[in-house]
Parts: sequence; C-alpha cells; structure tokens
Amino acid sequence: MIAVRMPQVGENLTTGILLEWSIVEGDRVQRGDVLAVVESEKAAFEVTAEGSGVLLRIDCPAGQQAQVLDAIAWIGEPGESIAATPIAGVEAPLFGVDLAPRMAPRTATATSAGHAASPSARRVARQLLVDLTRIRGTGPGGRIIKRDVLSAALAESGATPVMVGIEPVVEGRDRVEPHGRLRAAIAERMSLSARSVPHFYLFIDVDVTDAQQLRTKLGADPALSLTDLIVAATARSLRQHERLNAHVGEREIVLKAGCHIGLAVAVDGGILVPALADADRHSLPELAALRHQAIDAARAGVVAQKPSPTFTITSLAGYGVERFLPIINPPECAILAVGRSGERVIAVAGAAVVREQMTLCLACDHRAVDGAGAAAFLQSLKGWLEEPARLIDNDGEGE
Amino acid sequence: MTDANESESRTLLFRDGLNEALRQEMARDESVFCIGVGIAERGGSYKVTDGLLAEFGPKRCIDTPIAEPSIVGAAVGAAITGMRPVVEILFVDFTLLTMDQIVNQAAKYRLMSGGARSVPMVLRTQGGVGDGVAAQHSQSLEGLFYHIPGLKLVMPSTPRDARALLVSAIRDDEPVVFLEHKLLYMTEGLVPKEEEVIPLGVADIKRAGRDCTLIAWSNMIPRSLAAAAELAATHGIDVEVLDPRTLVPLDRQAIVESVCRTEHVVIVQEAVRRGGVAADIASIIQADAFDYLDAPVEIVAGRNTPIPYNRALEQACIPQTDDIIAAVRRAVYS
Repeated sequence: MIAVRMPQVGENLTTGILLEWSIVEGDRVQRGDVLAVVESEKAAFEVTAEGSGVLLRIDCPAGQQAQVLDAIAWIGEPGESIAATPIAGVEAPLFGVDLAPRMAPRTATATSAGHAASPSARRVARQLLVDLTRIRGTGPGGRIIKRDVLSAALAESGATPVMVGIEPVVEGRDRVEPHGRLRAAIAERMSLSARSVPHFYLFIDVDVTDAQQLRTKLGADPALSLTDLIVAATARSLRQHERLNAHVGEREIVLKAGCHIGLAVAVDGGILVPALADADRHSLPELAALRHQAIDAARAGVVAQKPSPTFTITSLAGYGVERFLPIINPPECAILAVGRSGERVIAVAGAAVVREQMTLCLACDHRAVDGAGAAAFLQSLKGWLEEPARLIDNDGEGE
Repeated sequence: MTDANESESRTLLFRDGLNEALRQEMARDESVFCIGVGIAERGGSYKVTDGLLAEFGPKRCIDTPIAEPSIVGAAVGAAITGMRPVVEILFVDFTLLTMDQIVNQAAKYRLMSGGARSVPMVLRTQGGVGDGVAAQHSQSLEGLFYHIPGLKLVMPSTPRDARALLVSAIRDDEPVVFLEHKLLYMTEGLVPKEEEVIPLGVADIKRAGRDCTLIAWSNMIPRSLAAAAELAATHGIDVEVLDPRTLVPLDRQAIVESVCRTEHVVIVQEAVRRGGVAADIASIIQADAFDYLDAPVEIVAGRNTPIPYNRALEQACIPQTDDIIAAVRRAVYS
C-alpha cells in the first residue's frame, strides 16, 4: 500500500490545490507515472507514482485542496483494504511520539514533484539563484535540464533572451577559439553579475604622495608596492565598515567574519582571483609576502578554493589606466578598481601644487549597500592611504 | 581542426601514410626493422610494407612462417636487446595467440627488470568489421589491450594521424599496440610533405561544435563526422567530434574540457558495449565533469555478440550513422 501525497513544492507552502487527475480509480499505474497535476501559489506540478499497483482510491478530488504531505490517493493491489494498512513509520506513533513530520518524504522539496534535475541544471540554478522547486522539467520523466533553469531565470528577471540568436559570424580566415573552462566560467559569472546585480559606482581621488614616500623609506626588504598599502588600507577600512565585507544572496546578506581580499590577477586565457586570507590581521610586510605568493601561484594556475574572497581589488594601474568601472565578482557585494597614480597639479590653500594622486572607483551591489555607507567606506580608505604611517603602527590587531 | 595546409600537403592513402612513416624511421634509425607474415615479398596484405624489402633488404624486412607467438616472441626479445621491431600481425583476431608475449612479457618487462630494460616494440595490427569477413576476422579488441597496464594503444583515423603517430610509436621506449582499421587503408586525406610527429596522448578536435561532444576513434570518426554534418544540416545541432587518437595514454583533459563546454556527450565505439573503452571514458567524465553534465552520457557501441558473416546482420551489430544521430538527439533532448 502506497500513499500518494500532496507534494511540498516550496519551503513555506502548506496546502496545494488538485487541478486534475490523469487517471481514475481502478487504473493500473507504474512507478513514475504522472497521476495528477496540483497547483501551488506560483505554479503547477505533476504528482508521480512512487510505486506500481492499482489506484485504489482518490481522497482529494479535482478542484479540492489538501494539506501538504497529506494522502490524496492510495495505490495497492486490488482488494487491499486501505483503512487496515497503516503506513509504516509515518502514521504509527512510535513510543508515543508522532514522528510523522520528520519522517514524511522530504525529497519532494528538492524539485517539483520529486523530479530529477541534471547536475548541470543544479549548478546553473545555484549560480543564478533559481529555485528548482519552482521549475517544471522538460527532460524525460520531467527531468529539469539546464535550458529549463535558464528560461526560468529569464522569466524571473523579466529580461528577454538577448543572447539567443546572436552568434558570432565566422568567415574566411577567422580563427575560432572555443571557450576553455576558465573562459567559460568568467563569461558565465560576469554575465550573471552584469545582468542581475544592480551596480552603482563612486569615485574618489586619493593623495598618495606620503604613501609613496613611506614606501621608499621602508626600503626594499621586502619591497612594498603601492598595491600592498592599498590592500592593507582596504582591509582595515573593511573592518570599520563590515557591510562592505559581505556576500549577497537573493534573500540575505552574509556579513563575513573573515576579511579575505581577492586580487584580480591576469593569467593566460583569463583572470583568477586568489584571496589573501585574513588580510586585516597581517602586517604590511606579511601582506606583501602573501600577495607575491598568491600572484605567483595564480600565474601557475593554482588558486586555493578556500577561503572564498570577501572583497576584490582590481588594478589596471600598471597599464596606465586612469580609472575604470569594474564588474562585481558575485557573491561579493563590492569591488575596488585602482587607477594609475601619478603627479597632478592640484589646488591647495589657493596655490597650485604638484602632488602624486590616484583615482579609486568603488562598485557596489545596491541590493546590499547604499550610497552613504559606500561613501563612508571610501572616505575611510582615503584616510588610511593619506596618513599611511597608521598602517605601520596598526599591525592589524589593535584598533 | 588540424587540416594540413594544402599548399604544403598532398593527398595520401592511409596505407601509404603508414608506409612513409616506416620508410622514414627505418632510414633514420638502423635498429628499426619490420617483421611479419607476407610483409616482405608480398609487401603485406594491405601493402603497408610495400617496397621496404627492396629498400632495406631481407635483414630489416623479414618474412616469417605463420606462427604468431614466435613472431611476437622474437620481436620482444629483439626489443629487449635494444632493437626497435615493428611487428605486423595480419588480423587483431590473431594477436590472441600472442597474448602471453604481449601481456606477460612485453608489458611487464620494464617493471620486472627494475627499470633497467624496456620493450620498444610496435605491434601493428588491423581490426574492425570489413565487408563480410566473418566472426574471426572482424573483431574490435582494443578493450583487451586497453586493460593491460604497460601497453600503449594507438588507433588513428586519418592518413595524417596514422603517419605521424606511427613515428611516435616507433620512437617510444614502451611497447605500443598500433591498431589500424581495415576499412581505413584505402581512405584518403591530406598529409604534410614534411616529416611530422604527433605525440601520443594528445586528442584532436576533428570538428568543433557547441551543442554536444561526440567522442570516437578509428573508423567511427568518418561515421561520426557524417552524423555531425547531418545533425547540423537537418536538426541545427552543432556537434564537436573529438578523436582521442591514442587510447593509452588518454587525453583526459581534452575530453573533460570539451564536455564542460558542451555539457552533452555521446561516445561511439565499434567494439562491443560490454567492458569497453567507452564505458571507461564515461566513468572519467562522470567523475571529472559531473557538474557540467546536462544529460546522461550516451554510449553507441557494437552489440554484445560475435560478428555474423551475413552482411545485413554484420551491419546491425555495429554503430551506423543513424544510430549516432539518434543518440546525439537523445543527449541534447532534441
């Protein structure tokens, strides 16, 4: 005897409406057959048989509503008595404790009516934050496949599938270079971020004259670069402005306990982002050493999976770029773009003076961060860089 | 993908590409010699060794009695002393007589001599379904050699690959089983005029595509390319055809990279389905590219049966273009 139950098709749903039965009492069914279509708040789902036999009785006719996980029909052998057959482990209280809520089949929450999803569909759903329980699969037996997730993501975002049909034109002596795994990952991640993360950008000019002097004064052992000072200043600013040191999800913001600064490193065929773990707890020389190790490893193709960066810094200063708008590396909520530093003529107290300056651009995810908070962070970062001696006094532990 | 530049290439038969490789290596290295049944006076049943007797003499192109175990035994012995024998066994079906020499001697010698010696022998042989040559002359037995640690295994599909891979096989210090397909000998393809070496263990994308990776080797390559052309023309499905070229060593990275790009895979082998190389490749894919699979790995393979003589039954036992097309369509949910 097998009970057919109202599927739990969403975390918070308690009831479902039976739209229609595909079979009638007395029909023989095979495991996996579609029995009925039920509807939740958002969508309709198929209910499939979890075993084979004859549909003995329907308890929830079409048009009626039933509690999630309640029996809506029974499958068994002809003549079997329904009332006399308790469902092992589910209906029968054990030691006086009703185990039903815990022992009821929870697999139904994984996908719509317990339908399978391909590994690729699951991976893409994780990346696009698509809820598999809300998707109807178009693969064999209702399997959710990648295209189902993609069309659901498009439908949710209300966007039109602009990429569909826009294929590169290949002719003559053109060279076709298929995406390697790294290129494909970058393409997927950056498209996701550019499409779904509401970016806003703040610029700030920073006077790095003193920072450069400090760097020279500290000498070459180890050789410090301006980047090391920026990493140190960023880490300390993030500790003061924890909302920038966060991961953003569809339903929540995760304020990260560790401060792991990701560095965008150009490598053959793409970019890797190694993380400097606990950057806020390291002294300047330690950070410089860590950074060299991480960059060398990344160029050799090695990036540790953990920790995952909590904030990324990207720099095109070495290429003479003054300033640029970066794309956030999700699930992080912000990214700092570093431009070239150089001498500029600026006005100080009514006089034109030459100072070394650079421009920083902070891109933020507006789902998690607002303008004032982001500006306060940039202000703090500017402060650390313009009074760099504090970066030495502060080894990261004291405040 | 690696189509030779026409200006520096010519069209060559598969068997002539092999012949060129043998001549080139015999001229380059005096320790290289050929041995087999009917290879010298007759030039081999498939004319691969044609002209070698005249050019290099009877000590380097040796006709033998029909005694396969002795031929391979002699070659293994010669290889241990530092020679580079290239054995021809007329049908892969007949290598079964020589399995002790290959499996227990050649494949083990490096390990059992503590690395002091190796067996730089190439065993050239020929397999696959022909045109009604019956059960004892039609087998695809690469799975047997694939299974044995210590052997390398090459299965070229084009004249160019055949020539350049045979050079690598001869220069390799380990025993190499070089499996040719009887239906490929008379196929043509562009081959560079210059000498060429293709390292063992490097796959080749015979056709780039986005929608599905089709992995095949030997005579299943022309068939897969025909299927890919048909799928593109009538179903708009863009198939990538990947030829591992050598099954041992296997270019796992190329396979996994292609699968991660297309997320759908079909593996085609002429050999019977049970215990085959395709199944092993499928296991590699599920382990290394699991999160990128959007559909189960499809295998199109020979039926688990001896190959019948009757032509219609023979063809029913091995993958046909239509079988490959159907499998790709299943794999991409078309």
